[in-house]
Amino acid sequence: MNQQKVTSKICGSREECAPVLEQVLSFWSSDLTNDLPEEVHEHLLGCCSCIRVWIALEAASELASCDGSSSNLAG
Amino acid sequence: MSLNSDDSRIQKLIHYHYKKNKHLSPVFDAEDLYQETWIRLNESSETPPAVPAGLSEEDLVGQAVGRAAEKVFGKLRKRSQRKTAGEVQLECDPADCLPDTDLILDLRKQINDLPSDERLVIEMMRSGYEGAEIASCLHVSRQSVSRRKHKALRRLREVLGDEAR
Ligand SMILES: [Zn+2]
Repeated sequence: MNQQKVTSKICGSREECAPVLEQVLSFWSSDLTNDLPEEVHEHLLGCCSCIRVWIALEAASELASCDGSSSNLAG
Repeated sequence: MSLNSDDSRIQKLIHYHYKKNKHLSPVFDAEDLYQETWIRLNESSETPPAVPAGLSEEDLVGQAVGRAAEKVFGKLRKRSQRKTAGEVQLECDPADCLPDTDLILDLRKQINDLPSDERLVIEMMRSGYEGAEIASCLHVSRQSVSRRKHKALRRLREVLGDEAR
């Protein structure tokens, strides 16, 4: 456990989380609404580490849409 | 106007320009199309402050996290509704699921730094386009679209590092 990251609670094991994170990345990239496979969904319900990554991806992509090539977007 | 509605505005604009210019595709480079979309979007903004007055970057990140969490938990909840009541419980404390600001900023940087061909594919996919449509629009093979997507995801995966164990 990483002592510096007090907020980063880890739930699943590396072996359990790795395939789920691949799915989360894929899911995030394709904006599918209802296609989370059942086993992925079940894992996510009990794994704050994987949910955290998904939230980070969503937040980062929202912020990326609002700067860079589109720095004048907010209003 | 909230960032959320801007986001949907961007998606609608990309969609609009894609549809509008689809017939021009043999002579209209998709990259130009994409850039034109951004330019028009910028031109159409009446008041363009990048950061609303009084809001720090941390505030913006915090707001984005709030919306992202809502979206993610909403999707999980929606997915759960298709199951029996006994199986829908979120076992995590939502507070434990919130990412660090640094991780988000690193990811944002990586997204902004993606090679334009990879970012375009990701943006289009997130706007609801399927691989075949993107391939047709960009005049590349579906394999190429898939390759760009996977390259982009691999770059993001690297940023996630230990977080994505
Ligand atoms: Zn996990």
